[in-house]
Amino acid sequence: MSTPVIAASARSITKSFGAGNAKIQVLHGIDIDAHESEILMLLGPSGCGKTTLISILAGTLTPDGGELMVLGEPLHKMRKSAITRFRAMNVGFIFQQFNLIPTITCEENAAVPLLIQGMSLSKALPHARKSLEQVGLADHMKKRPNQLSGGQQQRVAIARALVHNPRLIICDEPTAALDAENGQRVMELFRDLMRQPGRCAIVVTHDHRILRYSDRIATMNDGRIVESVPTAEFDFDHHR
Amino acid sequence: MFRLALKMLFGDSAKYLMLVFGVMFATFLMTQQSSVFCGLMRWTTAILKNAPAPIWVVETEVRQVNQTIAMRDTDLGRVRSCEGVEWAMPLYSGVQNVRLENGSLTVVQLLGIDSTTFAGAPQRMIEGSIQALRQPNAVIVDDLALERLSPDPKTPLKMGDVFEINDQEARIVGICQAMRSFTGGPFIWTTYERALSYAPPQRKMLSAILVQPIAGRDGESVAASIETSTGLKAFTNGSFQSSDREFNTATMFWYVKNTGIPISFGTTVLVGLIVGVAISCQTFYLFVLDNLKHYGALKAMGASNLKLCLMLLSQVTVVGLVGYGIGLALASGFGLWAIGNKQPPFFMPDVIPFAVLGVIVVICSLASLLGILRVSLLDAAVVFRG
Repeated sequence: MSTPVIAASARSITKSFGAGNAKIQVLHGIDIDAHESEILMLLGPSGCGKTTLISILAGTLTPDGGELMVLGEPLHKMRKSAITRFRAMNVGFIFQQFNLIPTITCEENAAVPLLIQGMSLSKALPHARKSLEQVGLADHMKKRPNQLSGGQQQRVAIARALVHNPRLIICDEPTAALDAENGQRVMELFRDLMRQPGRCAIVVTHDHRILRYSDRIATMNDGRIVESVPTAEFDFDHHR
Repeated sequence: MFRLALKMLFGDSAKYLMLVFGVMFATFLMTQQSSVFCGLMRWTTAILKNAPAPIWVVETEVRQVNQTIAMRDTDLGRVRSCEGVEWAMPLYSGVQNVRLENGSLTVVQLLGIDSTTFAGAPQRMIEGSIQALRQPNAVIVDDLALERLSPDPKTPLKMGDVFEINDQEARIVGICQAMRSFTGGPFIWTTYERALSYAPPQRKMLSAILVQPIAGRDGESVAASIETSTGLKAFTNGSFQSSDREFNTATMFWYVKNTGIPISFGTTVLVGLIVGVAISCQTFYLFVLDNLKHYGALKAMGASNLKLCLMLLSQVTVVGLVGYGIGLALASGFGLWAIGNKQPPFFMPDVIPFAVLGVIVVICSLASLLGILRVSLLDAAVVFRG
């Protein structure tokens, strides 16, 4: 069995907010690896630092200290503008509230990452349509997000996250705004799409029902990684 | 991203329309009020346009063309003898009462011109000829007088009709086009001698002397020569601000300095500016706030601050251009109506649309600045915080 390639690696990551007496240490020297062709789920109670960690791994938040290698790039040494370009080229995002732009169609929403990369809308739309077909929304391309159900909107968000073929996908509570059935469907679809070699997904979730779609689970508490194990070794009963 | 920005803008039709309205309102108010002000200022110089001559010689204390301080008749001869003068002719100018057929009175601007040369005669005759002024009791009136001097506005006066100026008969022998006077009264031309008989007698009656410099001499130097030789005041009659002694300029500046007109119009223009800024800035900022989570998502997905700022600028530019276009069209429509209706005064020099466009650019810049600051300072990680 070959050694898995590391997609994202965090070493001794620290992060605090506020200053003086109001300073709150959110992350206490986090060490974590996410591998290619893997879905890593971050689990933990509210306020444990999951969102802060995922923001740092995504390159949208700068850590106070530590080293951060993402897809071979040392993000902790890069300038903000370079990190922004890096995100545009290599990272796909799926947000809790979908964050689709309501005034444009689904295919235009799905094309947004390509537009950010500088592609024209006319060239981006065929890619967006293909991506929407992959998530089973071929019949809804011309509709606006508010004409779709929550599950369909999250599928548009998945199509948007994958349209530019990113190597790292960051998901923030992808099923939090969905009912159980839709959540399962979305995760099944997500897992199928993640089968592409070289892709890595880091998913923050509270939803224990979707943990089975992961390859590895890292649990956090009080700004620290408590454990990081393959899903097969995860003690579901203990965390229920 | 440009098309995406526009789709975001047009998608929120309520805010888009409000933004366009704000810019349109500011454009219309500033353009219309500035143009009415310019029109009014032009009306103050109507006598100079209606009795044109390169040089106007007046009494020393005269500051503007509507101010009449009579000179001695002998001053005409003194001016004629000045170096550089080709010819010099007398002009009577004064506001007089006309009694209408129904007995009511109305004021007119009476101009008495030299009966030999007709210097100061109307420039555009509609009916009749200037030479007919040599007939007894003859006057030429402008088209406004036909309505104003008629007892019934539905049946305007016509050629040959008779009315009274200060109880003396006047008969219409010509009709001309003329610029409206600042006082709103119509213009009536007659000969200098007859004008003196219409006007109440005074010791001095000569209002102004119209002068033509000899060929090859510029009005400026001849006017200076007249002032030196006679001690009278000599103005040139050219384009606005063409020289320090230009009579149109002196007249307009006199009204600007000595009346509340600029303050009144300036206040309205300022209100247009303030309302434009208030509506545009507030609405655009609300638009940005409404879309903040989308801008945050775009930022997280890798859109740079520059790209997001360009999106905001493209949105505000489209709003500015659409609002400005509609506002300018409305102001022009108002102008066409005003010109057709002959009042209120309306004159839109080229500088007004450009100046208003500059102000709209400032308004749009202010409106976008708040949004740009908000978006630039937006933390991309905000999208993960729910």
